[in-house]
Amino acid sequence: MNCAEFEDVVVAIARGELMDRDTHLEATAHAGVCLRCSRRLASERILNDAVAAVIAQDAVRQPSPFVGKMLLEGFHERQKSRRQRRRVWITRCAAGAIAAMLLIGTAMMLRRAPQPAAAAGAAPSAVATAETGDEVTTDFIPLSYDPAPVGATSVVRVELPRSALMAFGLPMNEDRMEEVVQADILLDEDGLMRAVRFVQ
Amino acid sequence: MKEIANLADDELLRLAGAGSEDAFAALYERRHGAVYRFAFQMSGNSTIAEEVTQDVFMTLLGDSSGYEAKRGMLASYLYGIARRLVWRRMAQSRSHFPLAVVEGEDSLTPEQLVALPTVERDLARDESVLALRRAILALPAGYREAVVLCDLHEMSYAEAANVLGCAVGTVRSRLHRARALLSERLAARVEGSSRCAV
Repeated sequence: MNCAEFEDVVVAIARGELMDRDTHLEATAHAGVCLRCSRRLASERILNDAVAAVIAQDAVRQPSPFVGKMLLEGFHERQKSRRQRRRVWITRCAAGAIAAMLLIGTAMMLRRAPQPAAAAGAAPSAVATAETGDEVTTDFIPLSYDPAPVGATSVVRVELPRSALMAFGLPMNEDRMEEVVQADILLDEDGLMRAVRFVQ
Repeated sequence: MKEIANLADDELLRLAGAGSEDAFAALYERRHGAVYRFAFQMSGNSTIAEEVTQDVFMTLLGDSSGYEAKRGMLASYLYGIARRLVWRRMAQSRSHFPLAVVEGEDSLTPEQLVALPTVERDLARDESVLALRRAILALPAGYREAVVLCDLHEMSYAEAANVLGCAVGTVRSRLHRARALLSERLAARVEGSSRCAV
């Protein structure tokens, strides 16, 4: 064995690692005749002793009890927040289920309602719910009774005298009778007025 | 509690995840020492070591804990977290750790000090221990990790490779080079002190 080969195994020998018996014998023999490699092995053994001393000294090294206490507190906090999250989740699920049941119930009730009412009222209300923005509107008020289902419709924005409100039984300030009020007229595919709603 | 203390790490972690405080306490009791020592030996700073120990177990508690039993043992996973946290902390407080090496004995209790060997042996041993600690802290990062895991924590090359996320051969060569550097420094110290004695 030469010095380079010895260098390859010196750490393994010093650390007492399992190795081929012949290699071990050759390395030991080489260290016996080579001063440099003998010193190298000796320095590895000094290092081993120092490592063992560090291990022994560190065996009693512990974090302060405060660390464990803090961790247990953290554990409790986490468990608490988990429970809270679970509670919120359950509440949301329950609310969602109730909302879904209400929707289904409402839909079923609307289906069971008499057909004429649906023809005159359901279609306009569908238009009414489609309105968005800052405007406040009344529901569509049917202008004629027609049992036939409403087909394609269009909405036309018009201005009516405020007295028109009174004609439909809506409250009106008599002092402002001369003013106009905006209204949406629902026209069917034949151009006939089917319903009206007032816009504020 | 006795029964819990006998359970495997994975089972303790599962129970702790399900809300068992006893399981968490048992897991901490079993593993905190190694995590703390690793952090201390890597940083040379007991404050960093305590912070890292706390953070390692908080990470373990977290919902985002990425431990998978099939990828290795829980102990290796804890070392892996500790390793990342140590480097992060050390980057944040670089100026602290040379002093802390000297302060290392502060954490020994009076009972532990009494239990130490005789004064003469103690002095010689402490000198070499201190010299080795300093030499380890002066090593490049990869070499330091290899020495701390393989020598001070007596891990196999395969276990250390699992912690470090590298090949077994890499660990072996890093350890070899690291030990060469350390033994050179220790031998120089021994020669220096023997010259002084003459």
